[in-house]
Amino acid sequence: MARADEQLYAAHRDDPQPNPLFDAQGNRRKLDPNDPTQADVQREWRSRYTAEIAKKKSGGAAAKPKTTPPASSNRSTDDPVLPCTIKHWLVIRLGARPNQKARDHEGQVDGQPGYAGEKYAASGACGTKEGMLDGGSSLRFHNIKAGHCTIVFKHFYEDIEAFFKEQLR
Amino acid sequence: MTDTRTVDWFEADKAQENFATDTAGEVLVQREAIPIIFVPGIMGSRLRRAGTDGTGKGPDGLPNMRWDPDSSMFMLKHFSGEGPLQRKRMLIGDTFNPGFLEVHNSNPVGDGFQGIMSDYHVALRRLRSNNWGPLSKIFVFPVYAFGYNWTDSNKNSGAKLAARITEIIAQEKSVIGMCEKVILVSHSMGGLTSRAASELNGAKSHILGIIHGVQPAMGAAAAYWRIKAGFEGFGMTSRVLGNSGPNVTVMLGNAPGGLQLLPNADYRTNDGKVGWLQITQKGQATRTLPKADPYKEIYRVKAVSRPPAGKGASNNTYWGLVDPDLLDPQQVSAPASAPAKGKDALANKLKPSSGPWERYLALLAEAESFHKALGKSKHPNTFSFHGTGHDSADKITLAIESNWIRSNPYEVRGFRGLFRDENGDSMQAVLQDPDGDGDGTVPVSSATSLNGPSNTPPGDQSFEVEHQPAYENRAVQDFTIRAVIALAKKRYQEKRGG
Repeated sequence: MARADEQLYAAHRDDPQPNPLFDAQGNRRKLDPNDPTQADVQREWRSRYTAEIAKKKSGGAAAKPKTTPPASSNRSTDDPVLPCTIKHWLVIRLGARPNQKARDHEGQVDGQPGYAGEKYAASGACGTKEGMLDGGSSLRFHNIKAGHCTIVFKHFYEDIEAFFKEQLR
Repeated sequence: MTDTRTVDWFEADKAQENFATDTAGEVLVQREAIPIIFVPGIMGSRLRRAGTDGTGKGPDGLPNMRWDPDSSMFMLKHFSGEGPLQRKRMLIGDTFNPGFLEVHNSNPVGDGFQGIMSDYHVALRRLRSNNWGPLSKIFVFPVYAFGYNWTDSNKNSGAKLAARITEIIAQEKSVIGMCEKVILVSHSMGGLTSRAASELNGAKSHILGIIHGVQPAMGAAAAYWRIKAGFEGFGMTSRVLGNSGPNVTVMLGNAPGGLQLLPNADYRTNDGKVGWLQITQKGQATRTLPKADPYKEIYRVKAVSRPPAGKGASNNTYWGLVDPDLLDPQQVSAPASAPAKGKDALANKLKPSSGPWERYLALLAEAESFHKALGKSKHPNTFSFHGTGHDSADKITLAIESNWIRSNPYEVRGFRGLFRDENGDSMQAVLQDPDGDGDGTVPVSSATSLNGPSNTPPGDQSFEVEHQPAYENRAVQDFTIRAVIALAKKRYQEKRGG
């Protein structure tokens, strides 16, 4: 499994980032079978994993991955190259505006709140989606259409109002 | 490319449109700073001679530091066991001058913690490190302290607090990006200073709310008790603060701040009575004061604590607040001068050329004026707590007894008014120990006099705490935190509705 993982990351190291396997800073994103944005790379991983199993069974010779013939096309033979299917992405982070400058004293330390788990609704090129921000207070869409997206944090105040209710009973 | 957008906290649920694909976007919430400013009680600020850094000695041979409760050594050396003369030279000077002392702040003032006694710091640090839960998504609560010259009038201190509020708001706006209002947390006399800032010095619109602790809102009869007899108790605190009438009269009787702690005309005893000063004989009240005006009936009456020589009834007014002979142990001042006129009347009356009693009357007039101006007004968003379970002077009792041997009215932690009755017999009216409910200094009646009948949670509460260390109590701190949350909710509703 580890070998399949390494092969998968290596194969996509030079892809435009962020992508389903790497974030904008080039850090690996964890493979998550429940992450729909990794659906394509999950299929690829399975293929590599199967190949590794077959290689082991055959005593070391790498099993030749099954290949499928290119899909038939009625494109002109003068222009045989299919246009590249560009996969688009969008990453949005929710955060607190950083302090604009330091105070004239050091006693006060303002924590930067996390917004992980904040619920969002998205629409537009990303499709109509709802979800929660990840541990980095971000949402990530991959393999989406080109265009624009609208994001709404429509439940932003729910925990605040619940907090008031609980604290001021 | 990063598409960064800043959104005010109260609009964080608005749709953010047109994030282009292949973009790293950021939505940054502009939080709002709501500074919490702590305003300590009388004697809770560290004071130094104005214009110095608090080190070394001044031309008068006294230390430039003048009041430092953070240093036991300092207080023992310069106050414990010292008499009225040293106390007056340290805190008042020749005559009261609001510019004589200043807060021992750092430069710049910063969070102001240096200027107040460190006993308060524990509670302030808890506020500062408190986990505000999801409120931290939208608010920041930086904590400041406001030390002030507690010998000066609370009106002046309130003006300085109002100016400091403006400075703090400007600073937090430049640091956080949004700041419009502060929360004041007051202890004891700091409540009067806070209300003076809000109600008399134009700061109300910059104050989200005030949380008062053990406030002598209508004054405290303990101020009368201490001017007559010194601070209660047998420990070092009493020795340092002044354990006799002469030691305290010279401080509070010459300081407008001290006189403003006296019961005002709206003061009531714990059982709702106007008259809080009783002279009793065999358990029966023979005189009850005030009928209506404590300034005229008690404070402007010269205390004559011994009968004049002679025979027959003496009728000396031992119950008056201040013995003129105790106001100026230096005796640097000439007798009363010609009365001043016009707007400079107070300044003229405070000149050394005025007599001590005349200067006292001028300061008392300031106190009365302050009491009347402040009245029962309070910030519309007010929470308060008071202390219970400790003997407190809600009323003052002078019990008349026969006097065979006593000749000194001013004993340590005690007072006895000496007089001759109608038969010419020597008598004494002995000041009784306080026995009302309260925090040991402020009775319940005064501390609760501004309570709202239907204040929202956490409401106004009582705790079994003593006056001075009230904020060291964990339950009091919990209450303060909940009151801050309640005020944050008001701010939330101001901007979000609901």
